Amino acid sequence: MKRFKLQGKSSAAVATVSLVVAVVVIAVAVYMLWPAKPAECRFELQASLDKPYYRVGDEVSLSIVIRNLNDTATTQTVEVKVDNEVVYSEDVEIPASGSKTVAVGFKAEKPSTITVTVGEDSTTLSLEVVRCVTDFWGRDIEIPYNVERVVVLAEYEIVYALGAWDKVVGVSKYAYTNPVMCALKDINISEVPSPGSSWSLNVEELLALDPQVVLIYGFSGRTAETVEQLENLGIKCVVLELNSLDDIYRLIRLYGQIFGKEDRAEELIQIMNQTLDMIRERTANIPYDERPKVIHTWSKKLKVTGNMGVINDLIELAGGVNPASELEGKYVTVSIEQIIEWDPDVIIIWGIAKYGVEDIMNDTQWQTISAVVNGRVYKYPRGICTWSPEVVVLALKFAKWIHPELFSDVNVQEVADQLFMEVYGIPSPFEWEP
Amino acid sequence: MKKLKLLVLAVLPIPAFFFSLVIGQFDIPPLTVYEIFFTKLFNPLISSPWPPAYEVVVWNIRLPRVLLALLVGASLSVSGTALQGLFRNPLVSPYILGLSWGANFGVALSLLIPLPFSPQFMAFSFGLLAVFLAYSIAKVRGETPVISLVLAGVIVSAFFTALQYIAKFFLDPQALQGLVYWMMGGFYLAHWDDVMVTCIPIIFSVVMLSLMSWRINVLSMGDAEAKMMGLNTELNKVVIIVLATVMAAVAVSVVGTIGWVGLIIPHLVRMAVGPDHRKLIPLSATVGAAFLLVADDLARSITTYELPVGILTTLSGVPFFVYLLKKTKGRSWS
Repeated sequence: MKRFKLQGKSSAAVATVSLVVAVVVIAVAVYMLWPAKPAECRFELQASLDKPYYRVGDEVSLSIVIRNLNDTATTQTVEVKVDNEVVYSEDVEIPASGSKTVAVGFKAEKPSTITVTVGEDSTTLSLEVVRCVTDFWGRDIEIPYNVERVVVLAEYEIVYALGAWDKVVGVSKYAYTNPVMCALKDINISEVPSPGSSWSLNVEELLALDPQVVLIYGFSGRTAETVEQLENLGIKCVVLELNSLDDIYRLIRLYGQIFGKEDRAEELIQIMNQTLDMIRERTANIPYDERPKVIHTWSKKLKVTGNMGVINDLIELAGGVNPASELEGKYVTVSIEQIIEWDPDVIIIWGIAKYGVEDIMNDTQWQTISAVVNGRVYKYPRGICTWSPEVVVLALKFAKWIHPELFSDVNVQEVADQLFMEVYGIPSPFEWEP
Repeated sequence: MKKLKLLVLAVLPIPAFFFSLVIGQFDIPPLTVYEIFFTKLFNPLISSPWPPAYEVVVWNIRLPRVLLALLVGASLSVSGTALQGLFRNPLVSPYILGLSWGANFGVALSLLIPLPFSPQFMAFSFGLLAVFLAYSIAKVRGETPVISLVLAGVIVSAFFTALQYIAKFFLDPQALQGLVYWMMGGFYLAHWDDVMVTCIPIIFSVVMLSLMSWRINVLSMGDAEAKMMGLNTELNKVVIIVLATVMAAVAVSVVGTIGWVGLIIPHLVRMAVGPDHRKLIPLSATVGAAFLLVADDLARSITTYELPVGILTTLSGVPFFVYLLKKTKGRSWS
């Protein structure tokens, strides 16, 4: 009875069930018979770098893990691009249902985007790069690749000469009276804020300028303390301590590196070398015992340049002999008797000294010294910086004072004007030929 | 025996003088030095048979330096002796009333701001200004009790120290180095001009204080006692302070602040001859002169560099003072 009922009632239900079964069967058949899914889509791609960031020139090690989700082995093209430049492109065989690790190595040059492509799959990573510079204390310092905010407490004019002035947010207070900075046409130095100088730094004002990097002299006994304090606050300090002519080259190259202006730095060095080579050519062959004795006096008549510093190098380069180089140091106070004993042929006075040529010429204690007897006491222009490219003009002036006969054809003013034009784009703000 | 001791102390500068003339970097045989010295002294116009450098070294370099050291030594010691007697205080030196710090500030100021005055003039006037300030502060109802003078000196010194630090803050390192060198004191720039400028006020003050020495004796018994003996204490005090200050200020303005000479020499001489200022003042002059001269000989000969003589006087003064304190158990004043 029940069965009948069922049979009788169910003709529509049977049809429905059969339809469902048929659909399922067809679906399974279609699934089974459908062509295999393209292999490209069946990968898992992972790429990673071995360090969170790199220094310029570091070897970057990129590892790419490709997992094959197919059950067949396949060969795929793996391509790595750094900022659209292909650094790696190989066909790689990936075993069935297994994974393959590809290691790619290349040099870090600048912050970039890395694109890894396997078949049609791709992934991107960003490559963080910092610059690493070595300062004059021999410390390796990591600074942002593109510095944007720099406080320059030392040799600001070189930053200008490099064409990186837009990165400067603060200068030393001495910049305000620097003749070169004041003579520049396109910047108004007095509008640039100053947190003090390398010797007396107002740290709070410095922080207010929010610098990434501070360029500071290391001559003060308290620099180490200041540097530690700033670095604890996350500000990178590059310490500068110049003691020779070679240090100026080192400084220019260092600044070029910091501001990413290496090419211009080399250009500045070329400009300097033109003049220096000319001086060397003419003075190098003078025998040692025929070289005039030259002393350089600082803020006091009896404070002379010893065996250290740029000035001592300039005297040597210009074909003179500094008798005070037997004494250790940059500034050495000696007695007047010592100077009489040296009996220098030429005396050169520091440009900023408060005394002049007359003060030495008229001093009764100096009257027997050869330089005074022959009227060969000179003073160079006030405010000329000995740690900048223009130092070569000073070298030339020294050379002309020490060996007038060898440099009679040279007009120092012309050389100076040309050099200033090439370096700063202005004629020399100093008077060289009276 | 006692007379001999006095005589020896009195003529001490003479051997020191001749000894110092032959000391120096430049090599001249000692006999030639004396030959040049005496020839130039008695016969200045004679054309010299020596190399011109010799003559310059002896006559224009060593002689002014030696004379200046003698003058400054005498000045600082006599000034110290007079002030110690006046204040009845063994710790007093010419610098107690703020002289040295005032002078230091004067020099710092002259380095900082371009002024028409020389640093020497600034040192001199600010030294005097400091002492004048101290004296004005200490003056109460027409009197200046010793204790308030000493305290006023401390106040004025502190004030000028602070001012000087402000000036230092703004000075660039080169100038700062110059200031530090000046503060340590030295004779390395000595010229005849300096001798000429300093000799009159210093010799005048030494003579005046020697003549007034009995008054210092009376004043050193205390204000009340001195008044009872009929002395115008205030007037005498002012005159003595002015003389002692001016002579020290002159010395400081030319050679910088040479420390401790004005402190140890008065003690040394007092130990040797007793507390009578009639002997003390002239003998401080001779002993102080000789002491500073020998100290300067050391300063210019122990290295090729010039040492500031102030360092040497202070270094030699400190152990001496420690010895003095230990030996007398603090009771050196009698």
